[in-house]
Amino acid sequence: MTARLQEILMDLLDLDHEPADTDGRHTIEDWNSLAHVRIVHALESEFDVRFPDWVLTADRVTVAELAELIEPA
Amino acid sequence: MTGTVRFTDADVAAFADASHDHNPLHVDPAFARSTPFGRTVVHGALAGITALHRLGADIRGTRLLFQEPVFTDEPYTVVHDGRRVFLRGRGQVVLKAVPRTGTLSRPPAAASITPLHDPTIRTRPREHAEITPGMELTGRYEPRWDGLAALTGGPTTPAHLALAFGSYASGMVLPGRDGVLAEIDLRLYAPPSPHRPLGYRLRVENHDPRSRITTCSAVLTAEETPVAELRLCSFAGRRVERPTLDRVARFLPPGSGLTGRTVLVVGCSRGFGAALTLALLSQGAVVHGTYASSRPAAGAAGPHADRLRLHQADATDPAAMAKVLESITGNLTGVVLNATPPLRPIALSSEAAADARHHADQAIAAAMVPLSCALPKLNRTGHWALFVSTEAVTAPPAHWPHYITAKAAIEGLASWLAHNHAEVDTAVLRLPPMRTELTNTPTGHLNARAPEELAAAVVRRLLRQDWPSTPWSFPAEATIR
Repeated sequence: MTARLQEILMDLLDLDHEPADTDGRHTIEDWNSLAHVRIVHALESEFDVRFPDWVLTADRVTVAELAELIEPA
Repeated sequence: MTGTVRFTDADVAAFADASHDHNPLHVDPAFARSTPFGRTVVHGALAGITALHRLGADIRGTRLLFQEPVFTDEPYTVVHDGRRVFLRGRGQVVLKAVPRTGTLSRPPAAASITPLHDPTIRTRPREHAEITPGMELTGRYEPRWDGLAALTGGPTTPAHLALAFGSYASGMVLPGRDGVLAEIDLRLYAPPSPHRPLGYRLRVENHDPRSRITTCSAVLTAEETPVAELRLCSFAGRRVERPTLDRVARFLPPGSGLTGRTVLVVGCSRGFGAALTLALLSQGAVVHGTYASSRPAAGAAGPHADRLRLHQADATDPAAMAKVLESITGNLTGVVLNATPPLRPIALSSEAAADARHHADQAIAAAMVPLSCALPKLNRTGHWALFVSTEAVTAPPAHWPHYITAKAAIEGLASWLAHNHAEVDTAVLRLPPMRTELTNTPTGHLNARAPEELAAAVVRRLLRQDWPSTPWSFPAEATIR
């Protein structure tokens, strides 16, 4: 699951390398609000989960936090 | 490899003509002012074609990410790092072009919905009340070949054609009028026969009703042969309702508590300013409202229209504001400093510092100039000044350093007024996010409040003369929640 999460992030953010668990909107320049919405939507579709609204508007959310949110799935 | 590029209004008009993408966000300044961008935006595909020149002519597949808006008459740097091409401006990447190979991935297919068909090229963008996965739209497409060739400075390549079509598909067909393109991922096949009409099939693959992000697949064909395949990701904006007296009345019943009072609202044309104007009118006040360019509909004031005086005046222009104040005869009970320049994201950096400072200068001037003009009329006990700020000053968003700087400065101006003109009741309104045209973004509406609700809360405080004992906080907790 984490590997798929990394794939989605690398694809949508066009990253050359896997982001670290501590990476997030505050460390990756291209992770802007539009990219964030697309990431949330892609993860929800991929893992069949629905994130709470605060995730959509969060200024700071890390890869590890996203992994936790999809964990139950 | 680097270079610079600057787009002009003429470039945008020429691309609109060549691609048939006449979406008003690109070509209608009045419409564009009612969007979060505040002004017309360069077609992403036009910026993409510029970037493609740097990628090389033999590109068979490209992904273009439109990360921030591109505006005319602003400098952009084109950077080619050997694989990708970036367009940078205002301290951030606004567009990224990446060569791609392989086929486009497809999400699970949704059931098809009866196709809509455009037998001719559209001249007006479609408006969709609803977007549903599985929707299909078909039609004919043909750019103005000579116009496209003139823009690109050479023969029209399949990539140019596909990008022109992608722009048309998003801006005119789906999402259409309210669409903002976020990404084009394209794969090119056989070159089209020159100067022949093409066919297309667009299909909604995915639509997120919360954010209104829409993903469509598209196939462009020449005589049934695929020329290009595209995946288009767009934001389908919402219709934002302008404040109305009826909605104000849901939060504040009409009354007469402000009869005989005259209030100046600087920045009254939309959002909170428009709602506050209506709320003040609903309580009997005479309201002078200024607007920069978007004239408010006087009809919105309904039975109170005779107490509404509208002035087109740039709040940063001392002469214009002095003229507005001269026109106010008699007492001025209060002033609301609500004007602010359009807000665009800026990543603070040495290259963007001047842009950030310019925004802050304009925003501060939009409060300081009207206040300085109004002060002689306000300078007496029982009169008041409201400074509109934002609760974002306590949790500043990453790409708004200029906005937060400006609002903090405006709060400082309020502090100065409270200290040096204690006879004037002074308050800062740290407002939460509201559902306005400026927050018509994928997430801007989430947790946002109705401007009428907040305007009603402010006017209730005015009616109670509920001024706090601590300087410049209004209400006492400084933030209306």
